[in-house]
Amino acid sequence: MSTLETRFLADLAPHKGMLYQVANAYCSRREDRGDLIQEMIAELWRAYPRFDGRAAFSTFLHRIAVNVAISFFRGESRRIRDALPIEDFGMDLAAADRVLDGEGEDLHALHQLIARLDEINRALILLYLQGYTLEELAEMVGLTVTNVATRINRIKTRLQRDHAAQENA
Amino acid sequence: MNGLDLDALRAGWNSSQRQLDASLTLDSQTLRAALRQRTGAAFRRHRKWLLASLIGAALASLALLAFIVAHLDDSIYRLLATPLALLALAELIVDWRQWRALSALDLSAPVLQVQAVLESLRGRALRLAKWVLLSSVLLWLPLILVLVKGLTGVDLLDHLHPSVIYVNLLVGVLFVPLALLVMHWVSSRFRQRPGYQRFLDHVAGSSFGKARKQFEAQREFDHAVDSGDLRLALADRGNPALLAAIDAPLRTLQRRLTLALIIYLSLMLATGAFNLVNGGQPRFLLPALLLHFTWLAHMVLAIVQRSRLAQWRSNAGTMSDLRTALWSLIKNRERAERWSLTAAPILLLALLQVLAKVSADMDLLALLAPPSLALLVLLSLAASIALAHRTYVRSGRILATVADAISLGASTAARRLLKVIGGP
Repeated sequence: MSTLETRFLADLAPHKGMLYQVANAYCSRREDRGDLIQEMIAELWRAYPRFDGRAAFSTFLHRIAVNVAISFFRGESRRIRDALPIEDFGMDLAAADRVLDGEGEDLHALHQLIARLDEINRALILLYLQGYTLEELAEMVGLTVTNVATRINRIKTRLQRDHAAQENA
Repeated sequence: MNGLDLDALRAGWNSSQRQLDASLTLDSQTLRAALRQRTGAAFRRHRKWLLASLIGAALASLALLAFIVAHLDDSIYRLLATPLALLALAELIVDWRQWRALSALDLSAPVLQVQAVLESLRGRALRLAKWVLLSSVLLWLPLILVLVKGLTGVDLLDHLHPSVIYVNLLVGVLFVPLALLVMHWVSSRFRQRPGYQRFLDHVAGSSFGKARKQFEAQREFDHAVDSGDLRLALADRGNPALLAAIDAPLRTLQRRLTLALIIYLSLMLATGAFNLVNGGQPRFLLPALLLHFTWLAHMVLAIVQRSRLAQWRSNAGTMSDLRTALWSLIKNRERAERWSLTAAPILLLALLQVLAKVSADMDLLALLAPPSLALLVLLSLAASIALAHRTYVRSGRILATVADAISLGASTAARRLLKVIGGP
């Protein structure tokens, strides 16, 4: 295996979970999640030789993953008609599903609520949950810090309102 | 859960993500195989299109050969159908050779070998497209004549004025050397430009272009893997918020261009039909030809601009690419609008003459005495000069509105989009 491949896999390894989280937020069906993860990895693979290390790899990865997910969600990117089964990537999605099933009630509810947001707000909240600051988020999505702060606050309010409604129901 | 505290949930979210990382594994060999499979899939898709084209060319060749056999005693129709049959046979041969070459193509072969095959296929497709284009002006009328005769048995030659045939023959013959000169000039001047190469890929077939692009991506990755070169600039398609913001205005612009394409194509067909019926009378033919070529120019502009935007979308281009495309679109539209407005008085006269003939079978020009006609032409020229000045300095709201109407609102939509992405 070449140095670049080794490095790519090493860089990608700590972020596979994030790819799954993004796919989970944008696709309700498991086969779609598999397609989307494959699409994200293929795009990362193609872009990786051009990654110059000036920014953190995680930022590079998150940006590509979110862009691919939004395109996929809008149906702009063609479905991978001849894709390998996701298991051939060495990724066992059933095991990942079990991890999510074992999460606490709060996180379980959070996944459901995030899936109801529009595609941009979904991306923002996913990146927010990754631990990015408002300044970093603003730079990643191309909005002003004030705009991001306002959006995040609105999303938080919306999530709390929806959650309360869900609990009352 | 009492209330949803996102900040408190961040830690749990990250812990869950670490567990997901542990449960998911990756294998680089299968990743590489997947990329290779995508390239193979792109070529398979291209082969499907090729097969459809192959069947179409075979049916057209058979139909034309049957037509020739059925009209062996009719020398004129035999002469009209022979070049069409030759062209269809050439398409059949080129498609068949491409099909065979692609079926035998081994994408795991050395890169230079695969590249040589791809280049030769592209070259053949381009050569055929060149000959179709060169002969298109000469052969469009024979195509209509043969089609109508073959499908309905009606001999249009009995209904057309001989001048229609002679004019088309003359224009078609003159078009060949002229188009060759233009092609030579464009090729020598723009050969190195990526836009020109993209255009050639488009001419060679969009599915072939996509398949070739996928192969390029794979080759680029393989090359980077082999050389360990990490110093290439990071590609930036843009950011999610901006992509979302441009989605609606971009669709609006594409819709406007499609509308312009349909409207100008319809107008062109209408004046084409008018020319067929009134071809023998220069006082009707010349105004209609003037209108015909005006519609043609606007239609070609709409096709080129629509195709460029569609390419940006399908190639996931950068914001900078889109900015450049929009800027050039606006400049070209301004030029077309300026020319159309300048020629508007003359075009209006031509339109009135054609409409009067169509609606009331009247010859407006015959109603005017020669001095009055000369005065009218002079007045139109003076109005054109005045309009040329005003459109050049871009003054007057009415003129701006008319100019935008000529492009069916595409200019305004392009400016709006450029504003969203922060253009000049």
